[in-house]
Amino acid sequence: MAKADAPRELTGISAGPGVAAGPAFVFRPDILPTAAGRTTPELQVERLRAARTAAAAQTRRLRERAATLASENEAGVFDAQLLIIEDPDLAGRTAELLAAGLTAEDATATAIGDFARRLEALTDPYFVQRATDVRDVGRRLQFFLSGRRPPTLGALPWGCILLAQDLSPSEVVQLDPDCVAGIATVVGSPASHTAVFARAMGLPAVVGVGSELLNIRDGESIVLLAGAGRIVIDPDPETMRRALQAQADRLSLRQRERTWRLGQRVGAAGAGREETRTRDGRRVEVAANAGGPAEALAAAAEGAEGIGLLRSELLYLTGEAAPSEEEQYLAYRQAAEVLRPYPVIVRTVDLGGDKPVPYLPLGGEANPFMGFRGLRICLERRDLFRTQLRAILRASLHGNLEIMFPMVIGVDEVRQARGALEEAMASLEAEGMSFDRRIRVGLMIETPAAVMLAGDLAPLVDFFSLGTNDLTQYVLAVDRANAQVAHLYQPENPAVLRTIDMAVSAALAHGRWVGVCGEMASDLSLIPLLVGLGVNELSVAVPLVAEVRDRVQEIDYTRSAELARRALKCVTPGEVRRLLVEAGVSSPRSAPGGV
Amino acid sequence: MKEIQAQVLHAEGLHARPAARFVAAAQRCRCEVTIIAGERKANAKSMLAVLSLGIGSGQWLTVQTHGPDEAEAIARLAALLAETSDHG
Repeated sequence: MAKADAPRELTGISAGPGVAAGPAFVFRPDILPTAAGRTTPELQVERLRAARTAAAAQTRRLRERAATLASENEAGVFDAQLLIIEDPDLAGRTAELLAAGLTAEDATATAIGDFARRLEALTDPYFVQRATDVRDVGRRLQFFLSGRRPPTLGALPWGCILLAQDLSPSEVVQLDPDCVAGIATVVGSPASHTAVFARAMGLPAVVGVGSELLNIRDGESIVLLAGAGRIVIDPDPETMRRALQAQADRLSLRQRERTWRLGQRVGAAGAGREETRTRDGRRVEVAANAGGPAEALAAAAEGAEGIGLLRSELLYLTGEAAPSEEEQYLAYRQAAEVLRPYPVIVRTVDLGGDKPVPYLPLGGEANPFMGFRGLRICLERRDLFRTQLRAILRASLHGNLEIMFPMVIGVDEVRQARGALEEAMASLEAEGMSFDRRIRVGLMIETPAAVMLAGDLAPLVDFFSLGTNDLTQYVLAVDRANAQVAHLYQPENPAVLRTIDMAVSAALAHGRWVGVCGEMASDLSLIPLLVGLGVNELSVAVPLVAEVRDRVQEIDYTRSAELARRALKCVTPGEVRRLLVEAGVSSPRSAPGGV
Repeated sequence: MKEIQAQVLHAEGLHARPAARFVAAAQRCRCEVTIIAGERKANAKSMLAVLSLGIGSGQWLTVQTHGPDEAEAIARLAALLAETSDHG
């Protein structure tokens, strides 16, 4: 029952217990990219083979993730998907269509459609459900054919409640349960994949809400009473407060359970992994981005060579007061211990008007991305900053921790931030507490100003990490959440590539190490460019670590450097894309003769 | 060629995990494996073909094997169909 006036409420089907509260995030699946130019049937067969190999490799990783985050039972869904990808009848039907002159895309769409419809025609709901697996596989094959990776849902806003038409098993299992508070979908039943996976991952979920669900706007506050199948939109403060409390209790319990379970798997994965290098021997570290100690554990299990970005916001967003030094110390210490001897880069808290917290009067800004946020807040609220710096310093004894400051535009800020770090060190020394005095300090390079001044900033710190998502938005003046301009958000735009080159060159010229922690670092066709430009580390979403490592190992640094030089001379994004296609790097597991 | 009649005892029928185990076992056989349900026939090494038969719990079907290891294959596959749960 939905009414136009507040408080509005929607009802659906409970997919399990739990209460969640947070801002809505409406998931609109990417439109499949269109195919590249026509080619020969032999090439179509080869493209399809490459896409199948990539999809199978991804499915094996999803299986592992499902076994880790859900259970062996849910992991079985991916065993079935793997059999579908490698199905002889599907392959036979597709081959016939290719021989008849269809493109790999059209042949796949037709064959997948035929098999899915056959299952949908059955009466038993168990079998009809399998059609969603077939279509999920088909959709992923199309993405791999296009040279793009299927959307991962790995980078959603903290604490959001995800709203979607429907979610496939591959989508649900990639959600970070530390990040997403709950899920609601338009369709679905208690036996649907969304419901089954959500239950197993401990995520509160309501399914089968109906199309009114998608009338909720992005960012609107909602409370999900999953057990009752209810969704309260724009709740009164008391409802919100109680829901947040219930959510916090559940999270801390789940965190403990999962940390224990993951710890066991990490032990089983074993150490002694080889360093990631390009084919011609250049060292490129493949690290992971994590939102908390649990995700850091998952990263270790995936074989990440460090945490290139440990976001600290989660600690700040879940409580009614700022997190205490002790609470933060434990979280950072846990992450450091799990990854030791690899580095863990803690980014000091990046709050802003888009993520308001009760104890910081923010919000109401016309443009939070250009407003009071990140380091700007920390330099004003020295009390909060000092607490966090002391916590990181104390935890530095337990592993290889590094500190990174976000949202920097100039030299003064960096001097002030270093001053605050010195003060925090002095206060610990005065109390007789020990810490790593030589802790490495770096900057998140995400503003054009920081790039322009990169040569002056580099001597002040030990490393740069390029936050390419925000950097791309700021350089191109494009908000990618704005549908009217989102198509202009192109990381392969020469303006972006030259910006990255400036920052990397400045860092390397001063003997500083430079990483990339934006989504670009996991874009398989852009990795050769980043490596070729001289980037030393790629930090990516946890489920993508293995894939990115494989990619780095199959490329050649010398040839990538030449490719990067040519890309920097291009003047349009189209020229860059053509260059990548010609070099054979723009399809997954690149064509023979790739860089 | 060998042929056997078998009843599917798994509570959920031959879907998802039970089917995946059956198909994976069929793929390990060197011989050809066919299952027949009513008038419909399917390549037992194809997950999609087996699923589209929509075989429910309690249903009878025919398994045919043809090739070098047809005798061992049929025994193994019949045993798998007789399982009531997929543990073990």
